[in-house]
Order: sequence, then C-alpha cells, then structure tokens
Amino acid sequence: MSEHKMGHIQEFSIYFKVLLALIGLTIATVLVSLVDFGIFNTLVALLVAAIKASLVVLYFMHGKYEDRITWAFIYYPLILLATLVGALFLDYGFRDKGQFTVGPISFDAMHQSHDADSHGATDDHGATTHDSHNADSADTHTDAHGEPSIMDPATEAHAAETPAVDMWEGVHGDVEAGRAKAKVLCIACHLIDGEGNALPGAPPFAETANNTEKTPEFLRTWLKAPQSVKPGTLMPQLPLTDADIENLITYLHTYAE
Amino acid sequence: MSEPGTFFHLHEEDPVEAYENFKLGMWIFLATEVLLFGGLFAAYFIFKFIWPTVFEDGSSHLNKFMGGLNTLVLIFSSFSMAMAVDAAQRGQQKKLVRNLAITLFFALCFIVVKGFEWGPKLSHGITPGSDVFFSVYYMTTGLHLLHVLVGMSFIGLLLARALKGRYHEENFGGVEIGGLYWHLVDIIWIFLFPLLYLI
Repeated sequence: MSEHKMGHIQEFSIYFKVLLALIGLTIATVLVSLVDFGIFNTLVALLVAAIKASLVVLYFMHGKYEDRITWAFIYYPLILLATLVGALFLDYGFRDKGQFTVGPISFDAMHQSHDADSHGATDDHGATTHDSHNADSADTHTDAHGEPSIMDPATEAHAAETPAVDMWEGVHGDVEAGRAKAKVLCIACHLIDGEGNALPGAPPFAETANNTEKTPEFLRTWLKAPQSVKPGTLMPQLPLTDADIENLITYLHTYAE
Repeated sequence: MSEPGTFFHLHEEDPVEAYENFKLGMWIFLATEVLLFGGLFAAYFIFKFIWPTVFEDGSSHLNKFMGGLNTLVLIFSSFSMAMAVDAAQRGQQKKLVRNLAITLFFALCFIVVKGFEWGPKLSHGITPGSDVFFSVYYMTTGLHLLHVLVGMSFIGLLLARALKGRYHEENFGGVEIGGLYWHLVDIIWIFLFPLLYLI
C-alpha cells in the first residue's frame, strides 16, 4: 500500500475531450429523437445515455483507475436493475393486453360488457387476479376524488340491476345550459345527435345515457377527475364547475330511452 | 500530514488506505442510489408499456428546450466539479475554490430552470395526479431535484472548508467523494432527459 499513491491525476485534455463528447452526445440524442425508429426509439435513447454515463463514470469519476472491488459495486446495482426490469417485462409482456382494464383499453372493455348483458360485467373483467391488479393500479393513481370502488365489478353489476328510472332521481340541472356546454366541449370527441367527432373510446351521448353502469354518481366523479377513475384515459379533465357537471348530466339524461 | 478536524484525523489507518475506504464507501452508497432511482425507472418502463398513448401525450407537454438546457447545465457542472477535484489533487487552492463556486452556480441555474418548468405546469393544473405520465414525471424529477439540493449543500460545505485551506495534495478525499455524488446526480439526469422529454 505504501508505494500506492493517493488517487490518480488525469490530464486536463482528457476532461476537456469528455466534456465535448458529452455536449455532442446531448445534441445527438435530441437530433436522433426527431427520427422515428419505432419500437427502437427507447433503445437508441438508452444507448446514447449509457455511453454518456460511461464517460462520466470512467473519466469524471476516475472509474478507469479504480480497483476491482469498486467495479463490483458499479456492476452489481446494474445487474439487479436489469433483473428487476427483465422480470417485470416477462410478467407484463406475456399478459393479455385486455387485462389492463384501467386506461384507454378499458373503455372498450366497458362497451363490451354493456353490449353483452347476458354475460354480465364480471366475465369481461375477468377473474379475481385481474381485479386485484386493477385495484392496485387504481390505488396508486387515485387522488382525493378517487373512488376505486367504481372499478369494482360487483358495484357495476349492482348498478346494472337498479332500474334506470331511479338512478336519474336527484338530477335537477339546467338542460339548456348543459346542451350549450356539450355542443362546445364534448362534441369535440363525442357524437351528439349525429354531430361532432366519434373518436375511438369516446361513446356517443345516446349510448352513454342508456348505459346503466354510467350512473349520475359515476358521471359526477368521472367529469370532475377522469384520471382518478381511470388512470390513463384519454378523456380530458375539463374546466367544469359543479353546476356545469349537473347541467351536463341533466342534458345527457334527455338521451335516455 | 493530516490537520485536526480533517477526515483522516479520525482514523488509525494509513492515510492512503483510509482514502481508498472513504471512496469505496461512497461508491457503495451510489450503488444504493442507482437502485433507488432504478425502481422508478422500472415503473416508467412498465407504465409506458401499458399506456403508450398517455406517455406520448404527456411527453409532448414537456419543454424540450428547457430539458436540454438543464442537461447541458448539469454536464458543465459535472465538468467544473471534476476540475475542482483535479485542483484539490494538485493542491491548487484558488482553482479549487473557483471551480466549486462555478459548480454551485450551475446547480442554482438548474433549480431556476426547473422552477420555470414546474411553475407554469402546476398553475395550469398539471399535477402529479394528472395522469400516470405526470405521476412518474414529478416523482423522478422531484427525487432528482432533492438530490441536487443535497449535492448543493455538500458542495457548499466543501467550498467553506476549501476557503479555510483544508484541502491539499494529501487530503482531497472529501472533495473527491463530493464529486462522485455530484456526478451521479448528473448521470441520473442524463437518463431522465431522453426518457421523459424526447421519446
């Protein structure tokens, strides 16, 4: 140990070249992101970042002059991390995409459950394992408004049994005000009286109004904070007051048959 | 060779051995830091895999210019930190103080740019609860910001000690491990920038 010197003094030119390389690679990663490599976008970005990180570790952190023990502690978190991400992708990669019933995909799942009444909601939402997954995801992302119980198939099934007439009780908004709002906002994605856009995952008003699962209570939470009900949904959080929401629900009710 | 109150004064070991152990301890700590952020990176990849459209949409709300600017700011700060360690190794007091001050200044720039990024987002109602993307965005960049603040206090301490002439050719371990920590903060951002802003 005695002949071993403390640290390693590196030439200035090395630091400077590394700085230039890091700046160059930062510009490169921005430029490369403008080209679409499809599924390889992430891979290319990670590759450039890994090269940059390696330069920092090797030359700025003097990793090049470190001993084996230090390198063991550089590699071991990377191996653990690769194991974690690899295992997660083995899990999620081999799942049926339809299982992720929260998010944009779930919208389709909800339509199916509505169309196929005889099968009941539970079939479409799958076995208990899926439900626990839903609950987990919902818990992770719900805020104060969140009502994960809405996701519960049992509740949905219960709502389906309730006669449609009862559930609209207590909705006393202004139909005209609701119509005005809907024709400005909702029409951008939803079909109203055959007008507007029918974007994927955005059901026409006539369909939602007759969907017994979409109770006024559900719609209030939904309009207030769509993400809290379905993290990842494309439904935007609109700047609506409580009165606006009541009016919209009242207007929507006029489409119920 | 070691002055009262310096790190090596507390140890019985040979100064070179103590220096090596000091550094190894920091490398081991950095390994745990990689795993701390690694969990969040894993969450990022899984959520992006499940909800690609949410991530595409969320990413388009981020300001690429500000993200890129902050990347460069951190790279320059990493460079000045490396220069500070080099100065300490060579026993160049003035250069050490200057480079530590420059590093601190760049760190402050990073926080200011971050403020200009977060401020308008939060006032427009884009919060961690907005969707899965912003949940990951605020968590990763927030934890990173916390590391920037810790790094700044570390560098501030080094600067105060450097002004008292504490570091020289045979005592620069403190500056070097401060540098190691600061470089890790840079490395984390090197990964966060393309993943959140660019793809």
